Amino acid sequence: MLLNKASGGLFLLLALFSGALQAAAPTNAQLDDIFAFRGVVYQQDDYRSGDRGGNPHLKEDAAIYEGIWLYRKRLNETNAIQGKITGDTVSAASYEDARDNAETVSGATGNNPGRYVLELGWIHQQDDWGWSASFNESREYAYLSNSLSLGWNGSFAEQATQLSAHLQVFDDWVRMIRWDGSKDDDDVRRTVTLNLGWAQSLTPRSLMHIGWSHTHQEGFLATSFNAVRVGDQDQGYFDVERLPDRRRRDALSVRYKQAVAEDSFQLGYSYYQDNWDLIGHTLEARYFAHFNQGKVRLEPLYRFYRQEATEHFVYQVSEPRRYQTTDSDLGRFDGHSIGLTTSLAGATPFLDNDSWYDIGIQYYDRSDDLRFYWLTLGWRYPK
Amino acid sequence: MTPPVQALAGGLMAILLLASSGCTTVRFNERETLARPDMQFDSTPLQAELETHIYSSREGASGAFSSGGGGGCGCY
Repeated sequence: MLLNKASGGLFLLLALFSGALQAAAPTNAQLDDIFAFRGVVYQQDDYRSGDRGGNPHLKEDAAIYEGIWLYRKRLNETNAIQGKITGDTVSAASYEDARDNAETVSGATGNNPGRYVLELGWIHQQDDWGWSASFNESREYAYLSNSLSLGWNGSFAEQATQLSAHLQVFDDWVRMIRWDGSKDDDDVRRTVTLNLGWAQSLTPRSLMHIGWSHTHQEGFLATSFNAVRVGDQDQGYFDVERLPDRRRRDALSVRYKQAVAEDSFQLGYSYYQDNWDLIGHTLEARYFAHFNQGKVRLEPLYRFYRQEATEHFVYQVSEPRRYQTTDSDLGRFDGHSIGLTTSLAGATPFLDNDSWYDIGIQYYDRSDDLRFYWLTLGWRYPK
Repeated sequence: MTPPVQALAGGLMAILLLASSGCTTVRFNERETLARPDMQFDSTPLQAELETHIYSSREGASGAFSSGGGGGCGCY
């Protein structure tokens, strides 16, 4: 039923715009062969009262190492196939605690020493319109997910107006391992997300993008291994996290991009709200600087995020409640992040064409004393 | 959908329909600068996807500037 509504909206949108589409000569660079790799090192530090940031009842230190491989192969003038593999390994203080002491487990990782994601997709692109479809499977120790996605894009008014629609349906399975190591019956989580985008050229050197993301979730939406303290520090005990089994989530965003000589900058704002009364505001600024005839690129960014807590968020309760969570990601906080990515164009050993090489770092400081940073290394061939 | 977002989304859809009616603000032969890679939103898809995943994992919101709604990962 849920899927029917979402897909009905997508097809309505497609029907509205398909009348304006025109057949075009099929030459599109978006289908060209590409091989890309990205390595990520993610470190999360817990600073509250020495080592208790975020959730006051948990150690939330964590380290994640991730690799992403992407390969796209052009089949002909209008079609390409694409595959992507992602692999993670996780090391977390909370996981070590849980294993050694059967204490609570952080929402950052859980009993989750690794994760992989496989994605296969098909892309069809004409000059003025295109569509894509992909299948995605991911596996963690306590979480399995399969998803299908459909995308559509169209250009109008001599490409001054570009519209896009993307529908993704997840069918997830949650292994119910509780904070104390006990187990309950496994449960499911179903998610449907529809993203609509509109990019509009404003002048020969500026454009804007407006996006709307709507998500509907059903099923088990809490984190199985999260817990809430009931009672005081001495006499209390831990109870499981409980959250409603439905969640509607909406985000509206606007972005503006302006060319400045050979460089450009981008500003963005997003407003998020869901039916758990969680509200989020995001402000973002990026600058794209070019040197050495465009062979060196620098991209500094600043991002501010403010979140109002969900109505179900508590630090502790005197008695168990119908809905309760101490997940710091659902609490109130401000977040500041800064980052810098450097990209270099250069020769590729043993291959004919140049590549892009990049290295980037981002640092995120949350007002509830949870801090994290991540380092990325990227390679894209050909340039 | 929550009422304020419903109203904003309705306005967005109306603007989308108007925008698709054929008015041209920048002609095809004026698009040299706009065609540069750095003038594309999310010009490095793997990087944008990674950022979205990390932010969505550590924040209650999702879908701020690109796709992602909370499925597919136990970290949400």
